[in-house]
Amino acid sequence: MDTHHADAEHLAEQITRAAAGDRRAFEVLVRRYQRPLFSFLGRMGLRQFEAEELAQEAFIRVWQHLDRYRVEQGAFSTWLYTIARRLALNELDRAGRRLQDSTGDSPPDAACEQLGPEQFLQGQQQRTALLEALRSLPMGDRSVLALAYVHDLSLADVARIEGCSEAAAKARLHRARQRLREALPALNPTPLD
Amino acid sequence: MTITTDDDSNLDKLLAGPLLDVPDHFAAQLMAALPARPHRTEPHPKASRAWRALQAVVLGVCGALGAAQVLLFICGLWTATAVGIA
Repeated sequence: MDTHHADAEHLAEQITRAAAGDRRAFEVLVRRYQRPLFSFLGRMGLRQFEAEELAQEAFIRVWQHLDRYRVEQGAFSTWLYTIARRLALNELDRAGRRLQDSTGDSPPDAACEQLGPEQFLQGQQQRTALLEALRSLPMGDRSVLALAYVHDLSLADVARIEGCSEAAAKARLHRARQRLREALPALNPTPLD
Repeated sequence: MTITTDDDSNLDKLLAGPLLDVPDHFAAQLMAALPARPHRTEPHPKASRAWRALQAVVLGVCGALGAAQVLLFICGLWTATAVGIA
């Protein structure tokens, strides 16, 4: 059997069971989506502690409203990111002043074991620079960029979440990437002293 | 989904990579904090439509019965008055 199809069936089953109140099935969903959700929130320019709170709130809302979710409305991931995006935009709106003077989080050090110290440091510098550049972008740009790099979402899904046409989403994404490149002058690794 | 050109590959790689950590016990803590799902009292949309239609019918019938009662009362008064005069 096609593994993708089997995976989709398994996911649909977990959603149905979770919607019926099965906590174990919901935990499977949480474990499946937690990493991409944190990555999404990172691209939205949220700091680690903010992302933790928001991710928790997003999953709790999903749990509370899962019985209202209908497959016909779109993929589960689209629904999840719609909720997470709304929460993130609200949070960024509230915490705009705090984000202005943000100095960034330490990027994840999971790759530390695989890389040499020099490469690891360069990677960290790049990620820190990227986080700062993302935080300097307008919220709309961050939102479309953050969604565009979610593996589960197509351009059509991004457009649906953003409430615009696919062509508009593509144009916004292009513009956002351009602004990000401008805000991130040194993407190439800088030589270490 | 990524839109990639050669120049952008480094940017794509960075954006697609993990910018934040998932705490080790995130899922466990979340499951512990998960509230009981609120009990929904709202009827199903179809049932709700039927219920509203029934309410409208009952209101119409009762309204008509009430109006008929008032008319009968007036009619009775008129009859009694007419008989009294005669």
